[in-house]
Amino acid sequence: MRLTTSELRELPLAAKWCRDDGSDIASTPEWVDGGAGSTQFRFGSLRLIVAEPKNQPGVAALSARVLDELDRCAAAAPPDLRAVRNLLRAGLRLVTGVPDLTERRTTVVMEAVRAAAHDENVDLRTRAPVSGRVRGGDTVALALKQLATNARRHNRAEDLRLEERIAGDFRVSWRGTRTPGPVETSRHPDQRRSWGLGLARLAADALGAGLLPVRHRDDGRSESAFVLLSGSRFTLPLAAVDAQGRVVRATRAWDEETALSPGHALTPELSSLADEARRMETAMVHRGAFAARRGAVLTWIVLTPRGTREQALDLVAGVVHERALAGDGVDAVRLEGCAQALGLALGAPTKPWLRGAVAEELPAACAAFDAPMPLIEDAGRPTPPAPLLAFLSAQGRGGQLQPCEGGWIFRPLSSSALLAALGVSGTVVIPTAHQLRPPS
Amino acid sequence: MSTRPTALVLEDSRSERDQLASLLNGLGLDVWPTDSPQRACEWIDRQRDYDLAVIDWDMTLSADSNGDTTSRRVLEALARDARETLTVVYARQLGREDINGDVLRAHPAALLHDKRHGEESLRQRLTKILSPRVGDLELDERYRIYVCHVPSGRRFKHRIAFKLMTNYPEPVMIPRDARGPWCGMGRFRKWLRDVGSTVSVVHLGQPSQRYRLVLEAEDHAPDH
Repeated sequence: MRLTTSELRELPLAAKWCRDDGSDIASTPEWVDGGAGSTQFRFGSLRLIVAEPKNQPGVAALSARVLDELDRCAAAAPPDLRAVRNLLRAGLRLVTGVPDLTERRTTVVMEAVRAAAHDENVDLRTRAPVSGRVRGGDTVALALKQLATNARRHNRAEDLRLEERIAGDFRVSWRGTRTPGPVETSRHPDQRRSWGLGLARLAADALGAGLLPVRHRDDGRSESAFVLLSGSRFTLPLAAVDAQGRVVRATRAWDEETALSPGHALTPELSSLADEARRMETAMVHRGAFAARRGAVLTWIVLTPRGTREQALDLVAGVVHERALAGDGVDAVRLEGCAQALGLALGAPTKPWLRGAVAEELPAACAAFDAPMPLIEDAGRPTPPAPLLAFLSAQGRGGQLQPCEGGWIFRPLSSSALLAALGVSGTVVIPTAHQLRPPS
Repeated sequence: MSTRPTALVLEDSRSERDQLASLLNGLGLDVWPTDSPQRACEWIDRQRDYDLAVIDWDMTLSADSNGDTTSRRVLEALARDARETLTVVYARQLGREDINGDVLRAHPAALLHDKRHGEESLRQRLTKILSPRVGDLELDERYRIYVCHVPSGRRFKHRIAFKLMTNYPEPVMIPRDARGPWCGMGRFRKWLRDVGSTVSVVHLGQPSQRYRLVLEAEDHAPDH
């Protein structure tokens, strides 16, 4: 996709374009220099820097804390679990925009895929690889594992095999039900139903790889492919549409996300968004994860990049999804407590736990966080989970939990920067019903 | 009918399933492991007299979750069709109110054991459950298929004896057409008389096919 300098300014984002040396080329009207938080995209010799829609330092700090605990979990893994914990670590770093690009021996990568898939009841045969080493080995392994488990679950795949066709070109093939087509997932958590394949998509973006559609081969086998490409890809899902609502130009990432390549008509939802943008002169309009702006000639629609909030949502989902991989030790308790606090900051509901179970687990959880035991009012009623209570007590150097309508209130004895992300006026409200709270 | 006590294991993580199978094998049980709730239901339907079932709750990693990512259907089948199977739900987050409620609604009599406590804790609990003492009888520590008469040191081997011991004081039902258990029952009753045990087997009256162990001092009038 080519863009003129004028068109650079029309994208429906708060963004600016720079050259490799950092000098500015153009920016959209919403761009403000000095803002905190941004996402970067490579576009040939240019860089697109997209600003965060809202500064969320509390969420960012909690996310960083979760990643620290994740690193401890991975470091503490016994030898037989190390490869699997490294995959967990790679996956969760990936969703927070800090992909693990550590080079690994390709034989190690293939074995990690086989072992991780094996534990998920997916038997995978591997062939000796072609290349010696691969950049971002754990991230590649994660993507390949997802392709294999996805094939098993959705295509009833049998006789699964993994091979490296040529250097950096990995193929997962199988015999199973015939369902060719694009990989159905999304970069944006609001646009996808399940966790697994979203990781493969993000891994492809992070490594400059292609995640190819499932195809059927002449030998009766189906295959999906993860191919490391030379050069960078522009991974922003972006399209230009005409007044009749047809896609005129689009990035490959847009095709992957929407299956609406040039020539296709927009879906009713996106068409409505484009119409609204045309009515709004040059202001941006938003609908869910999409944004649009009318340009001089065409209307631009973009799937907004994952910001701090979306990354944190994926991080929390990932810790829950991969809970078993973290084990049951002290590090896992700390990881769980920090992830539960992050979920709280994002407005996720907290499921109540039986008082007896919490009473049993709380001493060990507080010991894990080196926290004093909190006071809990109204003994007998369900409470938040022990790891979360221990985290709050550690941050507040103790505190008191009281039930309230719709949840609980935690009153810490002292304040901390992380607690400030969770509450105002010295208290932390922990809702049980699904109440969307604006992040602080 | 297998001569060793049997255990059904439903666990979607392969490494955890292998560990459980090894643990239960070490306790002298014949293990039937699977990651598939559907297969577990089929096995329960075909062979309803598992002595023990160790069931995980979260089936996310199973390939045939069929829209339900829990083992609810399996627990309901055990509660409905295999009431004499001692069922242990070995899972994570059992302290969570909604999960706890869902599990106990599916199988009200299930024992719960949180994975957070570790495999050794489960082994200790199962060892205790599988080491009943009834009067002067107990199960062999290593080979639980053997019932030992403590005063004489003599041993008897049959699954029906194991079932009667581990279900005590509850009765065990023997299907009319189950030749193996009927033969075993007859031999066990004779053995109890031969060793002079304080324990005997009583029939709980027609038309029931239920039997249970009683101690000499108990009133063993049949139930109606």
